[in-house]
Formats: sequence, C-alpha cells, structure tokens
Amino acid sequence: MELTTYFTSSKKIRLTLLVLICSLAGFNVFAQPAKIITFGNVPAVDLEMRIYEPDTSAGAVILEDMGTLMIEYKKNFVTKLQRHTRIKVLKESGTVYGDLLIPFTHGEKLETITDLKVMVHHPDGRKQSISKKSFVTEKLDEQYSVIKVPCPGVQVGSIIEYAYDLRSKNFLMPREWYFQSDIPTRYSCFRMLETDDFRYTFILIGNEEVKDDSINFQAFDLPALTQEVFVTWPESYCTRLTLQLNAIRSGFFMQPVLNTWEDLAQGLKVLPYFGVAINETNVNAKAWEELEQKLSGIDDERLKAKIIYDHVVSKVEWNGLYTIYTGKSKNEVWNSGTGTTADINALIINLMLRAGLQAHPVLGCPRNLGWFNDRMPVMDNIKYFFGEVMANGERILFNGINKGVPFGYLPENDYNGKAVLLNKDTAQVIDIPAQYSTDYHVILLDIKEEGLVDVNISSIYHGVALEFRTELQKEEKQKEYLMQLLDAYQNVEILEYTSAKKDSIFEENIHLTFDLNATNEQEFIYLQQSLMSSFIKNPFVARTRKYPMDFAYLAEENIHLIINIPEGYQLESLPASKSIQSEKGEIAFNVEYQLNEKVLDIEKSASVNSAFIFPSRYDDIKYTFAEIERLNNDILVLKKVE
Amino acid sequence: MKVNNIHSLRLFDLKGPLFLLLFFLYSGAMLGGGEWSADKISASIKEGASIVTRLQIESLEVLGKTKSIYKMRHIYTVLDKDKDDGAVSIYYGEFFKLSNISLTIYDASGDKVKTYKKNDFADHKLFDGSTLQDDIRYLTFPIQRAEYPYTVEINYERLISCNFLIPDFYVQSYDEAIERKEISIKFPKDLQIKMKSYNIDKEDVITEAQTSDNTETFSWVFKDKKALKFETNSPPSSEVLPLIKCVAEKFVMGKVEGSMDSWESFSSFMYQLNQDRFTPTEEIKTVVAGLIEGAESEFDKIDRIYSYLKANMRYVNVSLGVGGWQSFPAEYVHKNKFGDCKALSYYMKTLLSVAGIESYTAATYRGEKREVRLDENFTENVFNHMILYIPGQDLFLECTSRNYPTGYVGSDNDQRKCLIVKPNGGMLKEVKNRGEISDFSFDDIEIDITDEFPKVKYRMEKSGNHQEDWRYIIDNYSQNDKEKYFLSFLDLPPSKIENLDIKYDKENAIAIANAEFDLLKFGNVTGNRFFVNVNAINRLVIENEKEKKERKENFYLNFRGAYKAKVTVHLPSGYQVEHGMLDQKVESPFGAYEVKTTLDENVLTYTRTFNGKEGLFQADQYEDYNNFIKAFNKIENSRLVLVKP
Repeated sequence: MELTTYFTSSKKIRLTLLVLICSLAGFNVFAQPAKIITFGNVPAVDLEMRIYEPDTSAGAVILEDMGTLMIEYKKNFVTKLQRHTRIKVLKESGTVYGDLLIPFTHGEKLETITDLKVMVHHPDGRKQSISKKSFVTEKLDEQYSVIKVPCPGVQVGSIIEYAYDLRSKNFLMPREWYFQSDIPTRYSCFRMLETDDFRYTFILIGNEEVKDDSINFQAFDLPALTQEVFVTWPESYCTRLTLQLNAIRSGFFMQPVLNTWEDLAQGLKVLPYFGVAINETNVNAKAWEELEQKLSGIDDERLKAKIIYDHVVSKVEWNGLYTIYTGKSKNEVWNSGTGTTADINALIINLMLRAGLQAHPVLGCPRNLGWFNDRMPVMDNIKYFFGEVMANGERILFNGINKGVPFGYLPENDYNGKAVLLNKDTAQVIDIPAQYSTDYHVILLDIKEEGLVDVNISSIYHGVALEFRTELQKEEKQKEYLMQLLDAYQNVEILEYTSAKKDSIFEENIHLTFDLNATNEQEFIYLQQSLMSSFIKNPFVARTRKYPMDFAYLAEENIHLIINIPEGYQLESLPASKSIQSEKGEIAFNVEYQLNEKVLDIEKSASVNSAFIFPSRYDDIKYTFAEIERLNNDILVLKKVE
Repeated sequence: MKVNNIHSLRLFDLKGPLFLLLFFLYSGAMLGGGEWSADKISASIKEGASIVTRLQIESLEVLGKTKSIYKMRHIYTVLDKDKDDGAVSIYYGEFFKLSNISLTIYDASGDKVKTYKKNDFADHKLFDGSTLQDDIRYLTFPIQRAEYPYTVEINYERLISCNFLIPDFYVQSYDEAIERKEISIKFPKDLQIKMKSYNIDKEDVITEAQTSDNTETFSWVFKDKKALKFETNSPPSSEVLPLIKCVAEKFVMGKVEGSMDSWESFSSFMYQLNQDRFTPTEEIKTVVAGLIEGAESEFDKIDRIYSYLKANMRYVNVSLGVGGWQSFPAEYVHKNKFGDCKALSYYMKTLLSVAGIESYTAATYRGEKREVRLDENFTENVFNHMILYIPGQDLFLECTSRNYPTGYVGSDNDQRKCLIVKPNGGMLKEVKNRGEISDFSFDDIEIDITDEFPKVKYRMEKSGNHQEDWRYIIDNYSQNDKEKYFLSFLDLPPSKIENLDIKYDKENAIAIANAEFDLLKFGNVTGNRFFVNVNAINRLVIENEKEKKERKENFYLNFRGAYKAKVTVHLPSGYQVEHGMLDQKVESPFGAYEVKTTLDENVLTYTRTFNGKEGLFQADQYEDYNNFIKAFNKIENSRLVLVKP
C-alpha cells in the first residue's frame, strides 16, 4: 500500500493519496469491518440514549453510517454500494430526519436503488417496518430523482434505520463517501471489497481523523459541518473519500487508467466535444466574419487576443453551467447567444487559433466547488476549463463567462491556486495565484454653514475589484452598497453619482452630503473619518476558528481624505500617525495625519497580503482587524475658536 | 477577395433584376424589421417597463364540469436584462394536461432565432421547502440571451378536467407594459360562470358580451397600458394589479358535486368532501379518554387534547388526491403521526368529538392578511389553509403548530375572515386569538464598561406576533444555531457568550431570551472624549427611502405592536455629557415614538418606545412618512459625546 500525504498544515488539512493494490488472485476477499450491525437490531443503550456527549446541543446524530462498495458484473460492470444507516433523534429539531430523501441519478440509467428497507425504532421498543407502498419515487428533472419516505411516529428518542443498494454504471468514479454531514456522526465506515481486475485510487480529504487499514476507512465522533466567515466552500473541509479507477486488468497486467495528466491530455485530445471541438479548423463563420474586420491590420498579439475575447464575451452569455465538454456546435453557441463554460471558452480558443495565436485550454475547478487537486487527474474534481493565450511572450489567462472581468484577468472564482494547462499531448501544472483588488479614493470634505457636510469622492477600482463593481453596476446596486458603507453617517443624501468602466479600470464619482454632528451651538464638531473604507468592522468575532481564513484575493485600499477646516474652527488635537500589521504581515494598516494650516490631510492604506491564512493565526488576525476598526473609526473633533 | 469580386460580378452581370429585387427586399427588412422588432414599441410604452407584452391572446372555453380548454399565445419583448427571469415555466398536473407547446425566440430586429417544442423543455418538480408530495410539475425552458432586447412567443393549451380549477386571468404584472392583450371566456349558459374584475378601470378596457343559443362569451381587450411600478410600501398586489376572476358556480371535484353560489353552499361542499374523515377508531377513543380524565372544564379538555396533538403529530404537506382538497382520514393520521393542515384539523376535530366537544374545520388564507381578497358578496376559493373552530369556547386552533398556546393562531391567520365548514349553515367568521394579546418587543440591556472588557446582560422579551419566529427557533434549532440566530440581532457582536437561554411560555404568547456576554469594545475613546451610540447593541432600524422620489401610488404600512428598549450603561466615573442628550415625544398619522436619555451618577440610560400604525395612506403623505422615519432612525443611531473635564 502506498500512502502519500501532502499539503499538511499544523491544523491537519490533509489531502491523502492512497493507492490500494490488491495482491490476491481470483476471488473477492470479504474483509471484516471493524463494527458489525444487523438491520432491525438496535442495542438498548442506543434506544435509551438521550444526549450525544460530544455535542449535547445536537438535535440528531448519525449512530452508524456504513458503506460497502463492490464491483458486479451483469452484462456490464457496475459498482454496487450497500449502505446501512441509523439516525437517532435527540431533540424536536431532529424529527425532520423522519422525512427520508434518497437522491439518485436516473439520467441515462446511471444509477438505480434497490432493496430499500426502512424501519423506525420507537423509544418504547416497538419496531415499525415501513411498507414499500409508502416509498415514493419522484423525478425532479431530466437527470435526478429522489425516493421519499415519510417515517411515521418519529419523535424524540426514535431511531430511523434504513438500508439500500445503489448500483452505478459509473465505475470510473463511484460516488464520494462523506464521513461528515450537517449533524454529528458517531461512526462512519467505508470499505471496498477487493477485486483482482480493478484498482482504485482513494483520496482522503478533510480535517477529521479517519483510520484506514487500506480496507476499512473508519471515523469516530465526527462533528457536524459548521459554517464560518471567509470560507468559500464549506464542503471543502468535509471529511470524505474520493475514489477513481486507477487500473484495469488486461491479461496478466494491470492497464493504467488516467494515472497522469498526460494520460488525460491524450484522452481529451481526440474527444469530439473537447479536443476536436477546440482545435477544429473550420471556425464559426459568422463570428470570424465579424472579427476579420476588427483584426485587420493588427499585429500586436495581446491586442488581437483581447479583440477576440471582447467580441465573444459581448455576444455569448454564460448559462451558469460548469463543464469541460462542449454541448453545442459553435454555430449553435453563436446563434443562440448562450453556452456553457466549455462552449464559450472553446469558441474563444478556436478563434484565437484561427487568428494565428497560441491558445490552449486550462483545466480547473472553481473555488466555490472545492479545491483543485493538481497531483493527479480526478475527473470529479475537474469541473471546467478556461483559456490561456501566449501573447508577446507573456501568458495571459482568460475565462469568457463574466462580462465584468476585463481581458487579462480571471473571475475571482477561478483563483484556486493551481490548474493544468493542456498543450496537445502534454499537461503542465500552472499556478493560479490570488490577484489583487485595489481601490483608490480621494475625498474632499467641506463643512457648510447649514449644518451639512459636503463631500466629493473620486474612486478608482482595479484588478479583481472590477468584477464586483460591474456586478453592482449591472444590478443598479452601487448606491445601495455605498449607503451600507456610510451607515455611520446621518441623513446621507447622494446628490450626484456617476460610474464608468474603462477597460481594466472602474471609475466612480460621487457628490453627497450628510448631517453635521455637532453640539447645539456647534461649539464642537465631530467628524467620523471612516468614509469609503471597507475595513470599518472586524469580520472575525468568534472565539475560535476551525477552518483557514480564505479571502479569495488580495486587497489593497488607499484613501486620501482632505478636510477643509471651516473658518472659526481648529482641530482640537492632531491624532498620531500609526502603522500596524499582523505578526507575519498578512494584514496591514497605515494612517498618517498632516495638518497644513486649515487643511487636514489623512492618508490611509489597508491591505490583505495573504489570501489564505491557517487557523493557527486566527487570534493575531482577529486582533489586527479589531485595531484597524478602532483606528478607522476614530473621531476627529473641531473646536470653535474664541 | 477574389471570390467576393466574382460573386459581385455575377450579380451585376446575370442577375440584375434579381439583384434589385434582393436589394429592395433587403432594404425593406433593414428599414422595417420583423413584426416583433423591438423598435416598433413606442417610447411611451417602453418607459419604466422591463417587459412589453406585444400580444397576448388568452382564452378559456368551458365545455362542461369536467372539461375546459385554456389557450395561451403570449408574445413579449424583454427589455431589461436585470429583470429577466431567464426562463419560461408552465405548470401541469393531475387535473391539467398540456399540449401544442411551442416557444419561439426573436432577436431585437424581430427575426426568428429558433422555435422549440415540448421535448426541448425540461420537466421539473419544484420543492417549496415544506411540501413532501404534490402532483404539480413544471415544464421549464431556460432562455439566456447575451443581447437585449429579445422577444419570446409562447403557445400552449391546457386541458382542465375540473371546472373548480379554472384559472384567474392576471392582466398585468409589475414592470410589464402591454401593447395588446385579449382575454375571452366562453361557456355554456347552463353552467353559470360568474366573473369579477379587480383593479380595472372600466375606461381602460374594451369589453364585449355575446350570447348565442347555448353559450355566452365575454371578452376584454387591453391596449397601450404603461408599466406599473412596485414602490417601497406598495399595498399588497391584490389591491393593485388588475385581475379577472372566473368562478364556476356548479362544479365537480372528485366525485362530489359542489356549488359556489354562496358561502354556505361552498362550505357544504367542503364538508361533504371530507365527511368520512373524522371517524374515531377504538384506539383514538381510548387515547382521548385517558387525556381528559380529571379535566376540570371544557377548556381544560381542549387544552390537554391540543397538547397531545402538538406533542405527537408532525406537519407533512402531502397535497395529493382530489386536487389536494380531501383530507387523510383520522385513522391514518393517528397511525402515522403526521398530516397536513386539513388532516391535522380533522384529526383534532375527531379527538374533540370523542370528548363531546363540537368543532368545525375552517378554511382560511394563511399569509399577509391584506393579500386575502375575500368578498362577502362573491363566493370563490381564496383559501390555502385550514384551522379548527370550537364554537362553545369561540376558540380557534392552529393544528399544524407544535408550540402555540391553546387559542393562539398566529399573525398569519388572525384578523381576517375564514369559512366555517358545516353541512349546513356554514358562514364567514373573523379569526382571532383567545384573549387580549399585546404585540410587542422589549429589549432590556445593561452594559458595564468599568472593567477591561465590557459586559452585557440582555433580556429580550417578545409577545404576540413578535414571538412567533422564536417559538420555531427554540424547538427546531440546535444550541449553536440558536446562538447564531441571537447574534444576528446584535450590532455589536460579542467576543464571548457566557450564557444564553431562550424560552417560550407554553400557555401564553410570550418568548424570553436572557443572555450574558462580553464585548471586544464599546464606544470610541478619543482623547478625553467617549463617543457612544445610545443603542449600540441592537438598534431598531426602520426601512426608509434613501433618495427622494416622487411617489405615484398610495402606500401601505403594516406595523404591528410596540418596540421598546431600555439601555443602561455603567460608565467609569468622571464623565459629563458634552452633546447628544435626548428627550423627545413625537406623534404623527403614521405612528409615535418617545425617547429619553439620562445620566445619573455614572449611569447612562436610554429609553425608547416606537409604535407604528397600520393602514393605507395617500401618496402625497409619503414624504411626511419618510421624514418621520428618518427622524426616528437618526435618533436611534445617534451618539452621545461624553467628556472627562
């Protein structure tokens, strides 16, 4: 058995690669799981259980969740998962688990569920088997169905027990096994019955400990999954096992299957809905006809690439689907004006190739669907591809699904650390590091006699910020967002607002007023100086942190606030300039005050310099943000001069 | 280049006349556009619209009690990308069969892009979060266009096999402008269909009635209607959007004949449909006998039986069978320990009957009460829920609740008319809670900032409709989730929660939360000044317009109950008030508030009471209303400036 552990941190975020090698010939060997449970026989101690000690607040707990996977052959090879689960209801909130929902993929007859048994063990010891007549199979859409079983009489103390067989044609990638769920799990065990003819790679992901002896994977007392701020996809941290076929027997030998990225590159190259679609020489005629005129006389490669990218993005809308396979012909994509990630990026790459540029697909996984595993091709982890073009010797990455993202940038969701560039037969892991989102604000502040503060703001946004700004602009929510930032000010009135996106810059000009905060005779004027800052509130309030802080991108905010001190007033005291940063420089803040006669100049900058911070750094990060909040919310006092 | 030149030469040399013909045709297309070109929509119609109905022909032909044919042809242009639903969905089910479905998309010029048929639609089930099972499905077609505007033409027919379920005609939605919409209803004379229109100005519509030997036909034509805009505090859509209701006075549902010619006859129909659903079994009788043993009064019996229902039965919405109108029998509910609102109400009725207590189910509309369009002179089905009425006690019971006190039905049930279901003499009746119940929230907050970390003691008391959400949370959330829910109210989140206890009173509509926690910081210290918000922990913020807009339509306020707060801050010694003390009492047509701050030997206290009014107000009062709210929000968000001399 070969076991590789990598990406290890002090908090045990592990991605473990486990290759199971079977050395036995001929027969399936039935290895014994560590725990054996029999359907219908629940121990008295479980029936009497009233709380679950590791989490006394839990409304329900999974007592046992057992899965056994095997390969069957009936006309074709299928995987069969035998599942057996028991759930204990501890509180009223747990009775919802009495409505069983068992989903499966019926599309193309991929999965079938048979031999479903359901039993309710009542607190008084009665056992109630649920008749098959109560099982309702409902088709949700073209792909998915669900079996619904409303269990009768479920109350605090009940145990719901069910078992079924799930058969799947997808023996390349059997279903993932999740050890954790939204309620705690006392015991979860997955095992695969060994076979001579198939070899699987097991990839163990997650935060919690799983004991494995290469046959049984067992986990004990797993906590429920929880949500924390700055976690892009909570399921990333769900302890689970991913399986993928590694090799098939061919005679005396085991033929490798998708062991390396090169294997995948070669396989995808010849697929009509991947490699052929991307590289075919006959491009979409209408699209090319429109582009030819725009490209005429242009030699600069970057400019060519940008023209092609901008043109396709303006014409084709993303339909929200992530996939690596094209679904429609390029003509259909162009005419319908809509497509998947594959449709759109294949079209862009294809047109770039036609224009004589070197363009390639890049396989990846968007952040909101999990981390990308660059060690080996796990098909379930490869959710889409975006594009790479070499222009004037420089690599430029692009993804044509978001109009708000200018050429040269990727959507925020794509910055997932790593991706794999496919170049004909070769595959290369490339870095997709987090990018910066940068804001610059110049603010002029005047105090009017009428008891109003008059403010003029000029802002420029750059980098990843453009995507968010364009979204706000699209939904006409800029003013709403602005008002949220100015929540500390009274009676804010926006007199004028303009915004414009110019290539890779977003500009904003605002003229607003708010009520002056002053004593009755205006002997003292109080000015809050947190205008336009996103760092006005500490986002970290929990006592402890379990998961890493994942900011998705780096951020830099620069504010130059110029306050004209009105006639008859002076600054009561000039605050001290200050610089702070977390121990390892992940978060930093700097403020400088300068008084030039009647003008107070404040220059502030705040930055997030590390997009991914381990939870061991939590206390320091939390304290730094608290300090920034305090400094940013400092109030200036102007005093009337006698 | 060469190829193009040759083609051009060919046209000139050989096909001059053809070329000219093509030229003119092409020019014509360029000048005129297709029939559904967006350019053909007038500027006045486009103004303020996200969608323009170019043509809609909607017809209903009632052929009998069990057969009606509904036809739809709807051509609409989508102008606004941000308000685009992005999909067309058509429902169908046991009583609704679809046919002749087609969808065509046209580009901005009105040129056809493509036509789609039924097979191109995705067949969906919609999960609404509470219905475990019903028979309604949807055919959905997603439309995602990169370029706007575009036009959609949707055609379909729906066969309705129960004339109880013939549809209403929604004339116009918000943000929708209409170029032309035609609605027609045709029915046999002997079937007695009645109609009523809502929010339609007679001058705005062309109506026509035709009578032949056997049939009657009514038709309406709406032309050139500008879009209606939803504004903040708009009245419920039932009071704004135009609608034509169509009701069959005689109908068949399942095997039961029914009548909608009066509320009494409709009540009688509902009774007949369910008359065999409340027969007690011997087991039920035994259970009830045990429950009421030793009960001292009729109310005591009701209370005990209701407690049994709440503790043992679950709400599961299964809307199958006779369009979801027929309940499961009491025996089924008793055995399985679950049911929907009908089943649980009939089950409770059954239990009470064993105890010798007369009760009737009552059909009601559950939701925002102003959405109910119940006209005492026009009988129609406006109901979506069922509760139970006990005439002997003049008491209503909400049988799907697991925690309401006996006689409390909730703000989504009370203050509206329901229909008491009886074999004879069914009538409308006002739903109310038992006894006098005050609706209020009271936040009693004490903050001690004399130590390094500010400490807070918080007592949150909620009564009446203010505590309804809390009952659900107390019963269904884990302690962690309760904590998160409580924290969501706080403007200053704690660094550490020492204690959180949230409980509701089983016999009264009251819930109380007691919490003790620490804060990271409280207020801002700058030099010798201390800036503190009068209510830093849990401000009452009432939504108001941030920008001045001209109000076109009347507005509706639905405040209910009082919002009180008392915030006590123990300060370090030596502080005096420099600015920000409050002592105000303001009354207006929209409500009233009273606020006061005091500082007494290092104890700063802020008290606040806010009462809003409920009702419909004129559009020209909106600015005054907005100013009233702005003034209140300013006070609640105001800051005291304390200084150490």
